[in-house]
Amino acid sequence: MQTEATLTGIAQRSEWEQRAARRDAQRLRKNALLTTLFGGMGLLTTLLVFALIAVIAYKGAPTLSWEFLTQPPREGMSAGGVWPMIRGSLLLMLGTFLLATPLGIFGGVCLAEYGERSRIMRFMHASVAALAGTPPIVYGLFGLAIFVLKFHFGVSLLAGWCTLTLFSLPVIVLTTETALKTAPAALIDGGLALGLSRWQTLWRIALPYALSGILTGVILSLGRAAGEATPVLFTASIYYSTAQLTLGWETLRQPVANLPYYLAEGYRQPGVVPDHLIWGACLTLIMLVLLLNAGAIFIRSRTRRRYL
Amino acid sequence: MTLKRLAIVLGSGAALLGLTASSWLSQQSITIKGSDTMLILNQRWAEAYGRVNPRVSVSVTGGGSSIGINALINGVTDICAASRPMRKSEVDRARSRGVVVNEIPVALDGLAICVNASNPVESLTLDQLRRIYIGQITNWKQVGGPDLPIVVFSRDSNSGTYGFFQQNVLRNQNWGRGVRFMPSTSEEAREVARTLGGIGYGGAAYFKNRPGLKILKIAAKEGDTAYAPTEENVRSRKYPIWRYLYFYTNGRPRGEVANFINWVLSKEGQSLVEEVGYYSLNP
Amino acid sequence: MWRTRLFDNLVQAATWMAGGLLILTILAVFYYLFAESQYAFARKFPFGFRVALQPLNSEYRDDISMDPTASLLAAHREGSDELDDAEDATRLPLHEELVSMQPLVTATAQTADLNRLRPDELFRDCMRAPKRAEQGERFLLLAFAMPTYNGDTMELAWEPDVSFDPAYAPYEFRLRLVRAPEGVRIDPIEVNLNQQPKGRLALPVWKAHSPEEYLKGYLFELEARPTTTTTLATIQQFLKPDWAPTILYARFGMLPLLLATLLITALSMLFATPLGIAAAVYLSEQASPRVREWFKPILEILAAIPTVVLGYFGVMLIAPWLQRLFAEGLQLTSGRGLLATALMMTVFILPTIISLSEDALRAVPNSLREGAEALGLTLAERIRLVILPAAKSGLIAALLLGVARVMGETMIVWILSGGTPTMPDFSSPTAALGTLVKPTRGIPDTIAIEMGNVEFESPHYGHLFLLGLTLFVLTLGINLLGFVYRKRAQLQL
Repeated sequence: MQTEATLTGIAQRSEWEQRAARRDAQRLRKNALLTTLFGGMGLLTTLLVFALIAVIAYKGAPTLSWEFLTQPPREGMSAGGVWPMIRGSLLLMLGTFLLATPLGIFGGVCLAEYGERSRIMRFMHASVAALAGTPPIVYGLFGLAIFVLKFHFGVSLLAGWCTLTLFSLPVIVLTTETALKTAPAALIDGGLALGLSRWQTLWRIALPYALSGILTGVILSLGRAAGEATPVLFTASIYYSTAQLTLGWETLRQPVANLPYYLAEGYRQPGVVPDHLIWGACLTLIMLVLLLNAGAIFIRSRTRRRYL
Repeated sequence: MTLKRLAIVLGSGAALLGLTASSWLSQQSITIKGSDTMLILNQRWAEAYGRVNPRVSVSVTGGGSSIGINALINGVTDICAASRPMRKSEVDRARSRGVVVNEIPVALDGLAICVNASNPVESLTLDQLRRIYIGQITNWKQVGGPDLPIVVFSRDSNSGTYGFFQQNVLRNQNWGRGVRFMPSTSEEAREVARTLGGIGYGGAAYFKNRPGLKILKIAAKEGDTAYAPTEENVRSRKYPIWRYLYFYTNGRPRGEVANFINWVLSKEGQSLVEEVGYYSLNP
Repeated sequence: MWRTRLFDNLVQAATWMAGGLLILTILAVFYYLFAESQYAFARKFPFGFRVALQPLNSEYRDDISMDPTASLLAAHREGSDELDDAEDATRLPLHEELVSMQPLVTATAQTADLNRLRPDELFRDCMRAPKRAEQGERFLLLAFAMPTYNGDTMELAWEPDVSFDPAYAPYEFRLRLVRAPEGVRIDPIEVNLNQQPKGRLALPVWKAHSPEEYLKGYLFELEARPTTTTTLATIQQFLKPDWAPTILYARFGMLPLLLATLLITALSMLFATPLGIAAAVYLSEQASPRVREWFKPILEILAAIPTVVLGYFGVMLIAPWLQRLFAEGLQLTSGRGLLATALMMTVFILPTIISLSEDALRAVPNSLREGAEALGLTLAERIRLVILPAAKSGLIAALLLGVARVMGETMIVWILSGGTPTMPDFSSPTAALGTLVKPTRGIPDTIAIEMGNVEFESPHYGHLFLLGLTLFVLTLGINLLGFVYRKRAQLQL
């Protein structure tokens, strides 16, 4: 009787075990399948990036030459280089950098310090977050309405700077705020314990700590601004000029050629700018942006080594 | 330390700007702003004028006729290039800002109509053409051709010719249901060449000497003689689908601007017009 | 010491100023988008009908616009209220000419005033300037036969002018018989043209023997009676399904643009969400730190590729491929369209979604992971049952941010969408496929394309700002929602 019971028990257990083993095998198969799938997606993204860059590099590289990078366009835009556009893009970025960085950092400090305190600041926090995702075309429209028309800047470098500054500001503010918040509390408390004022703590301890994160954010948002055509479409762009490098206060009131607009106009006027120049300009623009990114990555890796 | 470095970066950036500011050269400059249709033409003029008169620099901006007109009204451009005449309301607005609008036609633009080479139809009236594009005429037999459905091709709305055609031929009526919009004139020509009942429009230069295509003669009214879009006919305004391309200035042009416009209207300037695919004002 | 304090105070002042400037900017963006949209509400509403008197067996029965004797009663931008400016108004031919030419005649008067009618001031066309929705409009139309006409009946035929659709005018249109000629017995006529935009009516013949008698014939009136205010009408029109701002009877219906933008967004999110989240899961749960170290910069590079370049990439490589794929069945003239746009949008948005999702996943505390592992769950189970639910808010925030970015992206749509506003059609599989691969046009590219060619401060200009405002409000809503979810994620963990 007892043996029988034991026996059936064993039989039952083994059946149960078998089922469990089957299920485990199934689970493991599913696990393997899913993890491979996830890994595959990661691989796919990587491949996508390389494919994109490779195709553009392949198409654009033959065009890239010293002449292409240093000469103005010739023969009705069908030959020559894109130097004025590179120069214009650099000018736009430089001014945007100078305007947006201090404003963005101070704004970020303001948010980090008072972000949760008052109703106004909470409103500001939410609005900055919302502005960060606002489409560039809206900034273009706004720039046209306010800087170009209302302030009478005209279509000019100045209007372009202001529009691009507005465009990149929210992102800088938010990165600054996040970076400041990641400063270890121990450092802040230590500062306060040493008798520093709140501002001194913030300015002398938290900010230097967060600076690499902030700079990365600044550069990345600048890179985005440099590649974006729509904010400067109505506010700062020029197609062609025979003018020499005439930089001065006058320049602020004059529009500049730039790479994104050159490409946009190249699309609007099909057949004028030959394909190989377009690919060359695409590659140049990507390299310009990637150069900035490389800077950001460099800063980050250096500081990471120092602090971690 | 790092803060100081940031300050150095910012400071040197500002210094760089200041430095370039000091290298400002005194060079006479002329700005042309406006029509995207005229962008290439203006660019050619600017490039060539830079060789004729290197002392004067010419800057060209597109954006659209309205952007140019608005710039003229606000006094931020020397010359406004426009592919349409200024509207009355715009002239009024200019007047209220103290801008005296001065209109100078600088070139002619004509559109050619092409059909498949196998199509026996030789000519259309402007009205028939309009009816074809708004979808009232759908078969070639309605205009004296074979019993063949008409396949209508147009440029897409990104192009300046689209607006020109809609205004001058469609008289601002809506496109028919079946119109196919093509991204470029050469693609349009290719499609018409391989579609038996196809019809398309574009600059005559695109269609000339292309196998499989035939350029139609167009009559202004029923009963009028139909003309082919040759240079002669467009220049004498016998061919009905044409428009002026304009320069607008504030008052009579003076100084370098006047010199430039005179050069544009000269034989040398006008010879560039043909190269770009428009028609010069005088032979 | 005082120097430090001064410095501190300066910094504090600068901080406050920056904060103030930010708030000012936010308010200014709102204010100016609103303020410039005001021009949309200055809009006037054009309309036009053709009316003709025809014999019973007229060859133009089906198409009045072909009838050379038809009169146009219209209010649109080429029209004018002053006689001198109305160059397009065609004068009625002289009596002698009429007798020899056309036996049936309609004529309009430039005035709507019955007492000021004069036989030598009659026209074929009566074109007036459009009015605001509150103002009505009244046209007078005279109809009579010439002595040369032989028949007892004639027909009054009417139809909307080509490319005018009564649904796009905020008026109630009525065609009414004001006065029948002496000696003609006829029931009163009143037709509602909104319900019956095209039609015909038989009339007993009445012949005019002299120019003075023109005025004594049938007298009709076409009345456009206001049904709503300009503001309401503008908003109603804005929600209609046809965007054709440059035609004579301008239509500002943004529905196809909005739907295209939403469809592009939906489609690209459909592609990007599984891809993006899977890659993020791989990065945060499976990949070794070394891989992760490499992956972040790669994502940043992809995120940094300018959208113009992505657009070119699509137009030169993806669109031709799509065209070849569908060319046979659908007679595609180019591969530009919804699908091509959505594909490049996916590439555009993927890095953003991956890196934000990865942040959200990494924010899940390790204790949860370890607990799940201790329970003997496999990696896939841990991810599905523990990590993904824990990171839900953060993931939703990441996706919402992606949605907002896609919605507002301009250059890719501009270059790849094909530029033709079309209403999506999903009534049949073929139609649905056609909708996916045929040209379309979204909100942001419409603004970019048309802004250069509008007259500034005109209704069209205002409508472009209205489009911008729509886009802004849409993305603002989505961004705020994302903000809320992000906050929630921060609070949860």
